[in-house]
This record gives sequence, structure tokens and C-alpha cells, in this order.
Amino acid sequence: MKAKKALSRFLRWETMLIVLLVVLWLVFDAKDASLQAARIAKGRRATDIFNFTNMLNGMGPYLLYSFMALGMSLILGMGDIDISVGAIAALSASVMGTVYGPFKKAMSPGLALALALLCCVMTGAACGFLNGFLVTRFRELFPMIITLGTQLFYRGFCYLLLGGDTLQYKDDAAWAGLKKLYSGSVSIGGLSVPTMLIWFLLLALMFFVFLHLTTGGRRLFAIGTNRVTARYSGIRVDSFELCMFVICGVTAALSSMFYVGSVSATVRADAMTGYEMYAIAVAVLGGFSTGGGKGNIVGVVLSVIIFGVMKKGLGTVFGLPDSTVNLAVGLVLIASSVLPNLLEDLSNWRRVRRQHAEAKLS
Amino acid sequence: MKKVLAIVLALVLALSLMSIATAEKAGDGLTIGIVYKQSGNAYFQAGVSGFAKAAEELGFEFMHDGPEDSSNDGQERIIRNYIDMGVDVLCISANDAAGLVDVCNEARAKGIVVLSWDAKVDAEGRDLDIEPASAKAIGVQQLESIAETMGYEGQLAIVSAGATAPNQNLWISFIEEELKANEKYAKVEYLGVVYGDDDYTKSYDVTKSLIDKYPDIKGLIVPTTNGGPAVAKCIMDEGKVGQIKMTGLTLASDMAEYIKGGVADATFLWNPIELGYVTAYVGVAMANGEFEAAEGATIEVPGFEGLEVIPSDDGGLILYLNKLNPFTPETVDAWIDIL
Amino acid sequence: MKRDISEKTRQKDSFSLLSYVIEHREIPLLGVLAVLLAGVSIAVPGYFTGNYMNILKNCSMNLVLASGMLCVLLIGSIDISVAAVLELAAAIAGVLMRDGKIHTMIGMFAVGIGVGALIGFINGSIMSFGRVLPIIVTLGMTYLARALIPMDFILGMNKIARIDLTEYFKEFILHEYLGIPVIVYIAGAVAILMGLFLRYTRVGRSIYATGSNEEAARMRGVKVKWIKVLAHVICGALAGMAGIMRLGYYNAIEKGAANGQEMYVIAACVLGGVSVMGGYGKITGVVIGALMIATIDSAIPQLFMNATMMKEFFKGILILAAILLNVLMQRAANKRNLKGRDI
Repeated sequence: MKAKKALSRFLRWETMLIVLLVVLWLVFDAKDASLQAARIAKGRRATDIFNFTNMLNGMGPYLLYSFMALGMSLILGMGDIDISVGAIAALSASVMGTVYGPFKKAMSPGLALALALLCCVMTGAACGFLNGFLVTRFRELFPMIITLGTQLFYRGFCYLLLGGDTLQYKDDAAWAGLKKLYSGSVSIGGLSVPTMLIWFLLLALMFFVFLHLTTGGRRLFAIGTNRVTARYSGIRVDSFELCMFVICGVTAALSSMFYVGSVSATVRADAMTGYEMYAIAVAVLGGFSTGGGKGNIVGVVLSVIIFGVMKKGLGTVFGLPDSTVNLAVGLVLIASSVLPNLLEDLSNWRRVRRQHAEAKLS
Repeated sequence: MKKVLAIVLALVLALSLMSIATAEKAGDGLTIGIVYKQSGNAYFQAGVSGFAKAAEELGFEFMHDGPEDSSNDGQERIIRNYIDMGVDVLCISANDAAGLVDVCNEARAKGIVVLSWDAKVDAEGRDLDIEPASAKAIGVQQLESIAETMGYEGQLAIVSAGATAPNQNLWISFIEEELKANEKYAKVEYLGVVYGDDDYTKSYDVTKSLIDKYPDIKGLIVPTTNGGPAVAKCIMDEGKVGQIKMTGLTLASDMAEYIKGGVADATFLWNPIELGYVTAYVGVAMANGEFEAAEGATIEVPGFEGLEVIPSDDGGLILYLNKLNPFTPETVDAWIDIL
Repeated sequence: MKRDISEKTRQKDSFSLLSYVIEHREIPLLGVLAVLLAGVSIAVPGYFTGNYMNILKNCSMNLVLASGMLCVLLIGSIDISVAAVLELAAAIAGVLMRDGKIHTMIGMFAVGIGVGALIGFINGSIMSFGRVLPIIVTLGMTYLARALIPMDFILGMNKIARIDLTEYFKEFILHEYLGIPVIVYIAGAVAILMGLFLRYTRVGRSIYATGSNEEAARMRGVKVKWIKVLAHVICGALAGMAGIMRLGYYNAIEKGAANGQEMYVIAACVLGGVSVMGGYGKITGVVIGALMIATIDSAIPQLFMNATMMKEFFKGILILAAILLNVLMQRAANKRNLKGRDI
């Protein structure tokens, strides 16, 4: 019995993710070592491509979608989906960039930036509100269809605001501070850890507490499991769902701030195209199924790291082109959703066989 | 076990011998990372083949990649990977001139030479920009070609790439300037720009609605290789061959049939292979410290003359190849296999 | 009790026109389409007469895709990989033609449909037997198919250009018989066959049954899992077919060429009154939906010629508004319907 318990704990999704991470890491490290040996054999200087410090410092690009992946987890947990997060992020950034100019003329740059950041978050919340409103009022249409539509709308809005130009404030110290969000790091025990990673972990902690330690989280999973029973058990489903969409919009806006920092503090209307897919992939690998009702934030954090390691490793150590890396993402996405079901089938099958055997005995 | 060891030793020996044998070339031991706008784009494949030709002569290694979706952050990610992989030279064709400045400066801080080719990185983020011809020359040459075909009168419009494309916007601004400034274009009625987003379907559709809206239109300028064949196909499908003529920057293989079919009298393109070739030579020379990007500096590249670094409009340094090839019904066949 | 029923039928008779309209959702849709066309015709003089063939041509590829999507939506599933499958099928067929392996029209269509059907089969199998949600599978498939297109060791191509295709193929799709191009005939044939298939064949009825109540269908002996796979095979095959049509129409294909098309395909179905929950939807509605999208598509550039930035924006708003309007109309109709039944 004890062994079985240990086995079922082992088969928990998060444990599997850790195993996957370790395997990936070992493979990349081994390949890296062989690459270096080959370089030395050719008489060239060796560069250690894949190691812990490199990975830690190179995490930036793979953290950009992590914030919205947290928001997406909430939505997936309720059995909904939000395809418009990439467009929400682009619109939030566009609004931030557009309002900063006039604000700067009226007040000190620091204050103007703070207000612009606030506007960015507000835009994300407003977009999330619109999504949530439409989703809860038009139940005939799936959230997928609705957010597919609102995505076009938000993206179009970006073009109305910015046109085709790249918005940037050259030689503006306050605005350039956005770059720090992305590239800044703090030294912890001799390691320089990107501030972005710390922000992400903090936010993930908040989400963890909400989702797994409060009644809010239980409500969310109740809605995801069965919306009708959730309503009958006294949960105000519509307003709760609306709130979650607003939170998802806010996380998209947070992502966009870091994104602006990553591209040298410039804003473009076509920013963050396709990021919704990354966010969904991360959340699904993390254990949130689009069916709703289950998932763990720990899994999402692990899956962010796995995606980062995988993309970085395939791109650098194996030198695969970007498009092939996307192929791997697709495979992982499908595999990670098939695998738990197959495991479940397996355990069901074993249980049935055991029951049969017991029936025969008696 | 002994056998394996023997094989390994033999391999090591062979490799070291090879490295001695090839050690004479200028680029030996250097790695160049080439980053272009979008993977799977024929134009940049041609550019990369120019790098490959130079690699044979100079002995450097190279890697190349572009993001799937011609995005800014995709390029940033690839550049960071290349920095980690220890490249010595980065040659970047930027999707957004301003957006890559930070990551390029990070690369330069690590001693990597940063060149931009085909589409610039802003002056503060690059060592040198290498371009086929000045933006003004490219714009004005297309305008003059189409205006001549039109007999210097009638309606003219532009079908561009994305509304955010910096190269196209720059060329268009020079075309518009020239239209206003030069008397000989007084009778040309300029309708404006529509955007096909470098997407075949969209380019086709905007052209169709353009023709529907202005049935008397006489000239189209298409300053993007992806849009060219779409616009040409649309003119053909609408049965307007002869009435509407186009020109633009196109690949020869894309356009050969249309040019011979009378849709265009001439289209243009510099040779991206040559562009890649020259960029590789400059990169190797700079990484070896044999050449420094400074105003007035010149460089010798086999088959090219008078390559000189001059100050650019954005306050940086630039090198022009100044070679623009026209594809006419007579000459296009010779280019098909090249471009 | 008997009296009650006869009264009800009488009541129904007196409202026959209204109930007919309620029963056939396509009629209000047709009205919306007419209003749309009339509005655009007034805004842009000479629009309709000059453009109806364009509208038909534009909507034909979308219609073929939407017919496949209808099957998938009917079983309560969704396929967002159709655009990527279209590109992959067209790319593979194009490469084979370029390398001289295929010369005939039929060969091209066979390859396209085959590739599409294979991918549809993979999609459907993973969903049915791996119990994975459709959106995840097809999302992953979008990545996979797009990533396969530019890989040297599979296709060795960057794009297919006009020069790679045979003369006959280039001419065929837009060749006109009786003033109508072939592409429109193909789309029409697909729509009619799909309608007949769904209405009159056992398998077609099983698709409806599976979508409206899976459990009940299973009880009745429908092999639900295989029906789901089949629906995805049909959807994939039609996507592949649309890929060949596209290659014939534009004479070029490259990765990402049809990016975003899936959205308009789904929109056409939803506009046509197909329920995304499964079980309800008719091919006539889909045809009207596809026509509406094509009308919006061709009208907007004419209305906002010099404001390109506005185009996508208004297109999005119009489609969203049309979908929501459709839902509201639906609700009003249902309310009426319930009132009529005295519930």
C-alpha cells in the first residue's frame, strides 16, 4: 500500500515535470560538452553555451509570456479560454506609450511614467472586462469564438493609436527605465538573478495562494468542474468569471510592460502577436486542461522553466532554427495533454483487471 | 575498447591536420551569426547564399535564422542565442530599427562586431550598416521607370509591404518627395499607398479593390518582393495587362512570366547574394581588426570597386554597394536561377 | 389531451409564416445579407454589378473550408489548424509539381486531399482516443504543420512561385465555363454534396446525433469515436482541397500565406447559425455566412480605401457585431417559439 501511494505521488503531474526538466537539462549539458570537445579538437576556443548562469541570465525572452500564462491558468481552470491576451498586451502597451507623451509635458517624468503604467494596467483590465462581459452574457458562443473576435478589435485599436510607426522616446531617462524591468538583475548569494524572474515568482506565489489556499480558488475549480452545480451551490458564477477575465487582462498588461523593456523601450502595433498561444501552451503543460476544474500553479512555474530551457537548449546547443523549435512546442503541447489521459486509462485498466481477478477469486 | 580509442585518436589527428591545412584563410576560426527578418523567405535565402560563397573563400563558419512571424522579439531571442553560442560577428536585417538597439549593444559590449545589412539597426546599436543603394536612389529609380512607362501622366499608386516596414516607408517618402519636387511628374496623379502586409492574399486583394475603385489607374509601384507577384497576378486576372503597368522591387524567378507577359516593363532588385557576400567580407575584416568602420575608410572585396564608408542620415555609418539590376523582358531569363 | 394538440396545430397554422421563419434560421440571415449588400451598393455606386463574381470567387475557398468546419462543429469540436493544413497541403503538392512528379489536375487534388485527410485523421484520433480537447490538438497541429513547411529535409522549399506550376494548372481554376470560373463550381459542388451527405446518409445523421447527445447516440449504436475521427478527416481533406484551389487561384504558396483564415472560416459558420456546442447547423446557413464574410471583405477596402489602418479594425467589429446580432435574433426567435408552445 505504501509503495502504491509512493507510485501515485510519483505519477503526479508536477513530479513528471521535474523529471522532464532534469532529463532535458542532462541532454543539453551532454550535447554541450561534446560540442566543446569538438571545438577544442578543431583548435578553437571553447565557449560554454549551456550552463546554469547562462540559462538564468538568458531567461528573459521566455519569461515575457509567463505573466499572461498565470492569468490564462485561471481562465483555463474555469474551462474557458482567452485567445485575445496577445492583443490585450499590445493594446495596453500602445496606450501606455501614447499617454506618456502628453503626461510628460504636464508633470515630472517619473510621475508621468507611473501614471502611464497605471493606464497600461487599466487598459488590460478594461479589455478583460469586455471579454468577461461578452462571455458571460453570450453563453451560446464559446469564449474561444468571442475572444477570437475581440482580438481583432483590440489589435485594430492598436493600429488606430499608433498607425504603422514605431513609438519611442529617445534620450528619455524615465521612459528608458522600462528597460530595467527587463534587463535588470539583483545579486542573491553571488548569483545575479533577473528581476523579472523575481516579479514572476512573486506573482506566481500570489496566484498560488489564491488558487490553492482560499475559497476563491475552490470556487474557480468548482465552476470549471461543473458550472451548473456551482451556480446551484451558491456561487455567483457570472460575476466571478467576469473578475477572472479582468485579472487575466491585467496579467497581459503586466507582460506588455516587460515586453516594451525587451525591445529597447519601443512600442509597435504588431507587438506580442501569437503570445496567446505560448501562454496557453505553458498553462496546459503546467497541468491546466482546457476542460477546466484542475491544475496547479506550481506546475505552471515549472512549465515556464521547462519551455525556457527547451527553447534555449534547442536553439543554442542543437542550433535548430526558430521554426523547428516551434515544432517542438507543438509536440510538447499535444504530448502533455495526451499523456495524463493515457496514464489514467492505464490505471483504470489495471483497476478493472484487479477487480476481475478479485471477482474470480470470490 | 582499444579499437574505439584508436578510432577516436585517429579522428582527433585527422581533425587537427585538417585545421592546420586550412589555417591560412582570413576568416578561419570566426563564426558569423546571420539574423534576417523572417524564416522561409526566398530573398534572405539568396542573401545567405552570398554568405556561403564568401565562407568558401574566407573559411569562416556561419549560422543563420529568422523568426517565423517577422517579429521584433523573435529576432531578439535569436540574437541572444547567437551571443551565447559565441559568434564573432552578427549580421542583422532588422524588423524594427529601434527595437534591437539594446541587445545589439549587449553584443558589442562582449566584443562582437554588429553589422546591419538590408534593413538597418539604429545608429547607436550598430558598427556599420551595409545597404545596396541609397534609399533615395531606390525610390527615385522606381518612380522614374514607371513614369516613363506611363508617359508621365495618369494615376499612380503604391502597394507596399506592412505599414510598419521601415525600408518601404523610407523609399515611399522619397518617392512622394520627388513627385512633389520634380516638374516632370506634374501630370502624374498620385493616389497614395495601400498595404499588402507582405502577404500574398492581402496584396492581391488590396490591388483588386484598388483597381475596382480606380478603373483608370495606369501605374503601380510595388516596393516589396513578396507583394510583386501578387499584384502582377491580379493585374493579369483583371484583364488589365497593357493598361496598368507595374514596377517595383521583385525577385526575377517570381516575376519572369509576368514581365514577359507584359505586366511590367521593368522591375528592379539589387543582388542580395552580392549584399551577403560583401557583408561577410566586411564582417571578417572587422573581426580580424584589419578594417575599422570610420568615415572615408575603404575596403577591397573581390569583384567590387569603390566601397567606401560614408556618414548616414541617422548619424551612423553606412556602406553602399550602389548596384541596382533592372529585370526587363530581355534580361529577366538570365536572372531566374540567381534570384 | 387530443383537443389540446389540435388547438396547438391550429395555432401553428395561423402563425405559419412566422414559425416557418423561426424554423428556418437561414431566412433572417438572407435578410441580413441583402441589407448588407444594399447598404454597400448605396455607399459605393455600381458595387454589386461590378463585384458579384468577385464575391463568389472570394468566398469559394472559404466555403470549402467552412463546409469541413461545419462537420467538425456539428460534433461539438473545433479545428483551428485548417489554415496551416491548407498551406502544408498546397506546399507539398506544389513541390511535387515543381519537381515534375505530378502533372495532372487530379493528381494535385489527390495529393492535397490526401495530405489534409491524413492530418485530419491524426487530429481526430488524438481527440477521440487520447481524449484531448480539440482546441489543444489543433493548436499544436498548427505549430507542427507550419514548422514542417520550410524544413529543407522534408520539402526543400521556401515558396512555390508561378514558374513552378504547369500551364494547364495555372489556367484551370479560373477558367470560365458559362461565365463562371471553375473555382466557384468546385465550391458549389462541395457545398451541395456536403448538404446531401449530412441530410440523407446514415453517417451524416450520425454526425448530428453525436453532436446533439453523445451518450444517446452511443446507446443507439453509433460508433461515436469513429464518427468524430471521420468528421476531422473530412475537415482536413477539405482544407487540403482548399489548398490546391488556393494554389490554382494565386499561383503561389508560402508559409503563413493563409494565416488567420481559420478565424474567418469559423466566423462564416457561426454567422450561418451553426451552434458551436454541436448538433445544430445547416449547409445553407454556412453558404450565406461565407457570402456575408466575402461581402464584408470586398466592401471594406472600397469604403475605406485611403485608411488602411481602419480596415482590419472595422472588419473585426463588423464580424463580431454580426455574430452577436445573430445570437440576439436567435434568442428573440426562441422566446417567440416558447410562447407559441404555451410554456
